[in-house]
Amino acid sequence: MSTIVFHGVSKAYGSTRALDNVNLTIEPGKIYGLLGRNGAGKTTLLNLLTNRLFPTDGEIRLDGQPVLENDAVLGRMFYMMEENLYPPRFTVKETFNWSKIFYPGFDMPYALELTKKFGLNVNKRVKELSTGYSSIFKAIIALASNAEVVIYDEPVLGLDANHRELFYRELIANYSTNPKTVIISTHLIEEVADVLEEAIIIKEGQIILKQPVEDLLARAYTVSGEASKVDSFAEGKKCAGVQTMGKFKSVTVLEELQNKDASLARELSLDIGKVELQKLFISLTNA
Amino acid sequence: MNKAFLVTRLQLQDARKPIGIFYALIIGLSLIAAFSIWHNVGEGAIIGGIDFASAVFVLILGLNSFSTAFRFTLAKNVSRMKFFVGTVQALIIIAAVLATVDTVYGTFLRTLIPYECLQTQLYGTTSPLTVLPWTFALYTALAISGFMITMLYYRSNRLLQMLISLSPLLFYLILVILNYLTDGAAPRALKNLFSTAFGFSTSTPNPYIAVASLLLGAVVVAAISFLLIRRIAFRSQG
Repeated sequence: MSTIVFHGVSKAYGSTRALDNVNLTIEPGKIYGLLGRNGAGKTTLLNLLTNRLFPTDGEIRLDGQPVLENDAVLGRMFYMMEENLYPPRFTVKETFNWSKIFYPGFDMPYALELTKKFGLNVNKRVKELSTGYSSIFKAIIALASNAEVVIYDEPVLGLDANHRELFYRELIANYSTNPKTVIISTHLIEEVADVLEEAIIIKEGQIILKQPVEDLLARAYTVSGEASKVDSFAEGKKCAGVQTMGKFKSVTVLEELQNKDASLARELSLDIGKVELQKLFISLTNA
Repeated sequence: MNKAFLVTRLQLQDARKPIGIFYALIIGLSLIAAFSIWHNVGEGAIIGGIDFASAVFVLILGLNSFSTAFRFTLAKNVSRMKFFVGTVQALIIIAAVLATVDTVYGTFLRTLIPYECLQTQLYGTTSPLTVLPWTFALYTALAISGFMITMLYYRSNRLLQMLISLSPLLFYLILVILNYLTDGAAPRALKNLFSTAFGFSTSTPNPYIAVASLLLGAVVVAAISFLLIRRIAFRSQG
């Protein structure tokens, strides 16, 4: 069990409120996607969860225990930050050794196996790693940490397509063999969509949505075709994400598709399509 | 294992290499000095300054003990309290090791050449029983001061950082102004305070008073460091 509860959490930087009264429960054993535009407050939320920052108001608890300066609770979480916090002079192997010391559950054979799969030289110093390999190095530590809650902030930054694919595969394999709570914060929504079980969307410091990805996608659809017909179809419906190209128009309808609507679309010769998570995200965060 | 001990281990491992290089240099330089004296170059000269070099070195170790290690322990989700305790433990151990090595090496050196440690020059004593605690107290106070200074820098904005950098000069200027305003009374009071704190106000200079003052100073600086670190927030260097 590792239920995380944010209770009325706010974080202000001077007059700017990066997070505003966040109330959120993260249930154990799921893969969450923390999605939001730049500056929405994703990293602040993760930094607060892992005691890197202090909330201005509110409290965060893991299984009822406050996370603030609580080593027992903090030791159950691992946070792969976008920024590299490892000493530049350390070699990859040395960092793995220290990870084993601080996280006794750290799986060294698995970490070494991953270095081979990703082609990471364990004798290289941290300062010598390219942006892509720096992400791989941090991701390997996170994957092998065996913490109950593993958080990834932009885990595939600078990775080529092959390595990104490999990372997602390893993430799912790791999660399947060793279930845990995984939180992924990323801008590459389309890529990660298939991995996520639940999406948390944050906008201007507030959680605007938290829902299973499947339910989220089921409660929206796209309708496209001749602009005037799309307009007449969309009338009175909750819509977002309008795209127009000449006489062609596409709209994301934020409602479950009813039979009568499907018939109407057929009558109007409009195409009904599944909404993609990324498009839905854009619709929701642009609204 | 207690995370504070893990931090201590990390800090000690970090300091191992610089300490090795430092003593290789010290031994090399003192051997050159010894050869010079044995071969009548600089006849009548008295060699000293090893512990002064160590004092500067230990201050630098203190200055280097914060930033990188703090970021690394944040990556490993270690609380600030455990980082503080672990680092202070490490600095005390380093101070004890350096003080012991300097005392033993100084005693050995005295058998070969005319060598005077800092304490001998200040208090006229050569007994390891007084040299060791005095040196240890001095190194501890300096190491923890270094730790506190970097933390102050980390927490400060650019203006405050500049003020901290200029603080010795500002202190001197304040002293000059006070000297002018109080007709020399303020600097005299300060001098008396230092004389008393370092055991020079007694008929025979007493290094044990300095030991107590330095250790008390180290405790005060450690307490300030704790107040600084307990609400220290992560700062991105990206």
